[in-house]
Amino acid sequence: MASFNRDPQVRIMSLTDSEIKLQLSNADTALANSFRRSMIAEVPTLAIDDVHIEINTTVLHDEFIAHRLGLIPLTSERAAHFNYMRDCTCDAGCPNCVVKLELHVACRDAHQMEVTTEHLRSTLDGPDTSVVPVATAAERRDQSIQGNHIVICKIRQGQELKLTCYARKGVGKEHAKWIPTAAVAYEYDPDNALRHTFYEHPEMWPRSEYSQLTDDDKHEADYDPDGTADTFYMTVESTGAMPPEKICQSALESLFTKLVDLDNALEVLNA
Amino acid sequence: MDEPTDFEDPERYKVGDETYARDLEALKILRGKEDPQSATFVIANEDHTLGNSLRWILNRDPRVDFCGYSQPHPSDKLIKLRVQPKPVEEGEEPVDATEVLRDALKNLMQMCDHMSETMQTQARLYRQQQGLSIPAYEAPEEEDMDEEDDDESEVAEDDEEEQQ
Ligand SMILES: [Zn+2]
Repeated sequence: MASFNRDPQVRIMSLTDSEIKLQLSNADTALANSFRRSMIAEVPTLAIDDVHIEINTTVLHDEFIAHRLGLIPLTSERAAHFNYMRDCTCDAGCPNCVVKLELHVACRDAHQMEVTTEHLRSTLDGPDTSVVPVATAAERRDQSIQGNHIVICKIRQGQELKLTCYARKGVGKEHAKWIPTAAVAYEYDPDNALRHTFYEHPEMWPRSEYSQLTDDDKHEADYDPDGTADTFYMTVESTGAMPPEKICQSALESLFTKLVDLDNALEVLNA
Repeated sequence: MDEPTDFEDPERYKVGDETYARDLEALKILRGKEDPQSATFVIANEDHTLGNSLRWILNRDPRVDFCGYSQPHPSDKLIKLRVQPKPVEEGEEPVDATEVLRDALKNLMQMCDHMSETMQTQARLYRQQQGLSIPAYEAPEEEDMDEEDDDESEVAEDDEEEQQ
């Protein structure tokens, strides 16, 4: 096999529960961008996809609440172990492709009450595997994190909400609710040595956090006519559905799968 | 699910949706009469994520004379990838676009694999250095792996064995 690849290097600059910063070197814009696109659109996660409403006497109508429920990030570390419902062997949902969540809240006294993700009861909620709203998972991980629950709607005395949700596996290109990232960004050439952009007043531009300039009076690197964009500084922020480095891994797996599928298709056609 | 769910129409989750064109062939190869080694690959259900990387890696191949791709229309869930290998000199074996593309795919796979591996080791190292907890999914033994994971772990193991 003719080899003309590069060995892209990955270095982690910082990593928290919600964000990863990494340096991708010896790469190319095409690769960095495929990686970014894959993280946003091709990483499978779980999100509420069907809502059966039994009682809704709140001020918000059914569709409105269903839409809000869909956008709630659920912990999806094990999404890879689920089947897409359309590919599953079952007829109408099974534990391999659907997670059921239930919610029943009624306000009995003369106070305003908030219906939040805290009230969602997941049927898949064990010590090993759990698919729950991310705020619930965060609370369990760290007792000091409280009150991050997403408000679904507000109710008053006499109002009630009772519904069943079915969460399914999907990817971001199908619907934004399956996107595991809150923000993905990359930058290259932090000191503008390649002059891919023109600063009329370089001194007025805030310096990049990756700048390698040491001189305070210098605001731009010297022009490098032979340079190419081969080092990328990426920031990946997770919605909480997955740890950020897991998003990166899963994105690369998705890319890999695409390549394998295409290779197999070529083999079949050539045989 | 213990009890059957009462979805009104479960079939609607089985058939194609707006994201994937299920009626398209996964891959079609179009060839002209004049230079039979060149080809246009019509790849269904792919977009710039694959197209741009493929074009880049193909253009790095010295055997490739021209390579470009396009997504003809955003509503068509397909891309067209044109690969024209360099015309061969007399006595040489003509290189086919399919062969060139398969090499490109293998190269990209290696790069993906390499990135994935470095990422994993780096993340583990970083967590150790910072005294962060190792997430549950990183736990050494995982029993019920799905097909995708199985394939990849097998590939990884094979590689290690070969190296040894
Ligand atoms: Zn199923």
